Order: sequence, then structure tokens, then C-alpha cells
Amino acid sequence: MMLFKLIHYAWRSIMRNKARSILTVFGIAAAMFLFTFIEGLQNGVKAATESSATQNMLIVYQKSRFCPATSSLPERYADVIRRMPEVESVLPVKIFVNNCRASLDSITFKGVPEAAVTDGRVPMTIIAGSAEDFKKRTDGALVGQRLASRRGLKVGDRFTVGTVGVQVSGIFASTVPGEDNLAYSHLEFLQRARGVDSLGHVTQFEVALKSARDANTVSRRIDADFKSDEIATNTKTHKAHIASATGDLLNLIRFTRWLGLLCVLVVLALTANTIYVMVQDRVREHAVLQTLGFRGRQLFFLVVTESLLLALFGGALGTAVATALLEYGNLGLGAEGVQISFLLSPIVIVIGLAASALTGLLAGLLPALQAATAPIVDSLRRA
Amino acid sequence: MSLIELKDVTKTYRKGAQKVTPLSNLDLEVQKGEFLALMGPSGSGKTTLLNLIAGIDQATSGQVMINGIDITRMSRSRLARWRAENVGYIFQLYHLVPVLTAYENVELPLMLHKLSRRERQQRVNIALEAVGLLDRYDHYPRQLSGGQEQRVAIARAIVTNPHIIVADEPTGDLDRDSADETLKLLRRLNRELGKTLVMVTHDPQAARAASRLIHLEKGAVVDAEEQPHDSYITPSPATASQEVLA
Repeated sequence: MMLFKLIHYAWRSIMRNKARSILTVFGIAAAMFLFTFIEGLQNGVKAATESSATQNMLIVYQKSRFCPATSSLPERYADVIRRMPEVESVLPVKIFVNNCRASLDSITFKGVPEAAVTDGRVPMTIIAGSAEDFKKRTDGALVGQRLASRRGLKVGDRFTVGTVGVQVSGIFASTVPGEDNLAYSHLEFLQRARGVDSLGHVTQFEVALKSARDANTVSRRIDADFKSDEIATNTKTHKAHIASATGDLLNLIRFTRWLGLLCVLVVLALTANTIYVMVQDRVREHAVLQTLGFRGRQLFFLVVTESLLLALFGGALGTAVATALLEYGNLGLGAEGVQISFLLSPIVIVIGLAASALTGLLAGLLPALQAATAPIVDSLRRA
Repeated sequence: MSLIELKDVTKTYRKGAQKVTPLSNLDLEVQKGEFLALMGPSGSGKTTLLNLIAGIDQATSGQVMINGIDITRMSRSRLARWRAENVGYIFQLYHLVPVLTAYENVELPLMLHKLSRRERQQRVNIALEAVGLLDRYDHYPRQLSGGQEQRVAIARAIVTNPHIIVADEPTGDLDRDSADETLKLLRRLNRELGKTLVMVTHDPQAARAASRLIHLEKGAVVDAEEQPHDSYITPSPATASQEVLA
């Protein structure tokens, strides 16, 4: 009863100055929004580099090239790589991007042999349209659901990016992070879109190994085999490739994480200030409560509860808005043809709320201690 | 045995570099069921004396015995519990919590007692009825007049059925009519419910409501007089308020 009544009292106390409380809640919400957003981006990067679906995958790229537009490898290399005993499959990929630099609205086309979308080399589940339609149409494209949602595309729509115009044959979902933010088209179609000189050349090979343990050995062997060939290669694990392509972004993301933590500190100061002012405003009221027989620890609980309620409301609001934006805003970050999706997991939401609660708790500690230990007579006289 | 007994009580505190002694070697006894008024000029120590009796301040030396217990030796936490069980405090400026209704304000001290919701409800209703404000139970302090606020504060002071009620200039902020109403109520508490009251006042008319008047000056008792008071210890026929609050 006592606990419930004190929480009720704390709630009424918060509501006695609605403008101040609402401003505080919005301040906390803004900071927690940013915190959750950044955590979502971190999570997306982590998922892209640590996905179990790509642990045994190598990416063969042209040596000393970093943008898909400049990497051009002979398609015949695929047969050489496929013959290596450790290799499960090889997928020649032509990549077309509308923007090679880091962008929130970059679109990536991956041109692949049409058989790849049904033989498992491209892990996808078609959720609208069909692979048959894709096979029938030379300009057909299978579009990731996040990209489709971002661009408002549905089956049968035509859309053009730069010099490439395609028709949506199907929409797919993928378990590989970032994949649902790009579109697959026919390999030859994309090669022709870049001009006839591009026929027989691809941007990269995605090499699936039988065992991830062979990654280093096979990488070295591929690069050694093509060292003196027409075009030298640079082979990396999928994880290393993502890290390399998004290197600048990762540095930026690491920096933004500090910004996120700074936001939490700002919220801490903001909430502490609000609670401190609230306690100062009610020095006499707390003294009256003590006169009635309330003990220090009960006043401490009361003030900390007010702080916690403010922080949790702000935290929940900020986290909810960030969740809604990341869930329904279909944002994706792309760099050098690599797509990173913002990913919100339950743990990110829990971390956001826990950070809010911890902030509220810490912010309320000193004012609560002050309220709990203030001498009654001095407080009654002071106000 | 006296209900309140102060033995050689001295209170000193520091105000900057200055040492202030509002009470010096004071002895005082108050009997159960007595209504004591404390008068004196500002700085005479009457509020300090009241605060020592209420247990919200502690004596520098001497003993403050309430019902045979020396409260000067109690820890802060124990003293808080003791106050919750033994003292009802009426302030000059009422000091109701503005965000709580009259009912919730009166219920506040009961939060510190192990009572069922039904018992709390019964006690609050009786306390509000005793001060004639049951019909205003859902009003917030801002919706009440000064006199009504003070009556709610009195209901809050009596709802736990304390042994002692202390009042610090309870009529100091009220107009004459409201002050008279408040004094009548305090006399009723004393006469009908047998409550022991200690009241600080500057108002001679308010002091006349008490059964004994003590004048303080410079922290010492300079004059004490019994007042004509026919029946402050004679209970009148039992009422619902008496059964629960007496």
C-alpha cells in the first residue's frame, strides 16, 4: 500500500508543474532517440559483419580497386576458382550503384546468373511475384523488401536508377543483413547496361567455402593464381570486405557512439537539474512530511521515484519513436555497394530503457539524499 | 505521571558565528488532557519548546519525557516513527500538500500505519466529519478557504489518534471568524476527545481557549496561570469521533 501510495504521490508531484515535466520528458526522449538510433546502426554493422550466413564466404575483387564501378574481373575466373577442392560454389556478380559514396539512399543492383536465385547461391525468400517472371524478363528484377518499401515499389512497377531501368518481378526477404536493401537483376542485363565492353566482366566473385577454416588458404591461393593473369585480384573474407568497404563509415559510427553516450550524460544533467529544482521547490513540503512521521528513506524513495518516472517516460517515448522510425522508415546506409540496415533488436530497446532508468536513478540520488537528510526545523523556517 | 515532562532542557544552536540559546534550563510538566497555551514575544523560545515536545527538534541538554519515554535519546529514524504514532502537528500556514485532495491529505499520516483500506477510509471520514468537512473530501487545498484548509490540517493531525496535538499559531493566518471556528474545534478536541494540546499563540483571545497559559521570555518561563476552564477533562456523551479518535 505504502509503495503504491508513494508512487501515486510521486506522479502527482510530477504533474504539479506540467510544463517543466513535459519539457524534461522531451529532452530525455530526444537524447534516448539518438541513443537508440545509434545503437540500431551499431547493431546493423555488427549483424552485417558477423552474420553466420556469410561466415564461410570470400569476396574476390579487383586488386587496388575500392568502388564497384572500377572493379572489373574476367568472368572466366569463376571456372578456375570453382575447381578448387575447398570451394562449394562461386557466384559472379556485377554490381551497379547509383552512388559509390556513403549515402542513406543508395541503391545497389546485383547482377547474377538467373539460376543463382533458385539454386540457393542467393539466399532469399520471394514474398511477392515470382522467380519465373524474373527468369522470363531480361529486365526483370527481384527487389529486397526494405528497398521496395523505401521506394514504394510493388510487383509490375518499373523503376530506373541512372542508366538502368528494370521491372519488378518479385520482392524478397533475406536472412543476410543488408540484402533486403538491394535489388537482383540478370547478370548479362547489367553487363550490357554498362556497355558491350563489360560483357564477360564482373565486379566480384562471391565464393562459398565448404568450411570457414579454409578462408585464409583459399584467399591466398586465388590471389596467387591470378597474380600474373589479365587482372590481379584481392580476396577477402566477407567480414573483412564489409569492414573495408565501410571503413570510413565505421569510424564515423564509432564516433557517433560517443555522441550517444554524451547524450545520456546530458540527459543525466538535465534530469538531475530538474529534480534538484523540484526538491528545492518543496523543501517545506518534505519537512511537513517528516513532521508527520515520514522517514528519510521514504522521502528518498519518493524523490528517486519522481526522477525515475520522468526518465522512464522520456526513455520510452524516445525509444518508441526511434523504433518506429527504424522499423517503418526503411532506412539503410550504403557505401561502395555494401548495404547496412539499421537493426533494432529487443536487446537494443532494453538497453535504451535501462539507460533511461539508470539515468533517472543517478539523477535523483543527490536531490533525494538532500530531501532525506534536511533538518526539519531549518526546512520549515527556510521556505 | 505527567504526559509531557521537560527536565532542565537547554537548546542552543549556531547562527553564523553567534551562539543562540532559545531555551535555557527549562522545566515543564503537562498533564494528560490538558490544553496548554504558550505565549511570549518573538524569540522567547515558545516555538522551539513546541518543536522539542513534537520531536522535530532535539534538545542540546536535559530530558524531554513523553509518556515516560525520553525522546532526546532517539535516533532520527526512531523519532520519525514515534512522531507518526504519538504527535499531531498543526501549522500556522496549514501546509497541506497542494496536489492531494482533502481526503488524501488527511490520509497521508495513515500511510505510515498498518491499516486496511477500509480502516483508513473509516478513519479519514471520521476525522473529516469531526472538522465538518466531509462534504469537501475531494477538494484540493486551492479550492478551500483558509479556515477550511486549517480544519483539514486539524483532521490530518487527529486522524492517527495521537497522544499529543501541537499547534503553532493555528489562528495566526486566519480572519476572526475562521480563527474562532478553529479554536472551538481545538477546544472540542480537548474537551470531548480528551486530547492533550500544546499551542503557541500571540493572540490573547486564542490563549483564553486553553486551560493553562504559560508566558515565556528569553527561553524561560516567567509566568504561568490556570485559566477558568470548567470541563476540559470531562468527557461529553460518546460520538463516532470519540470512539475512533479518543
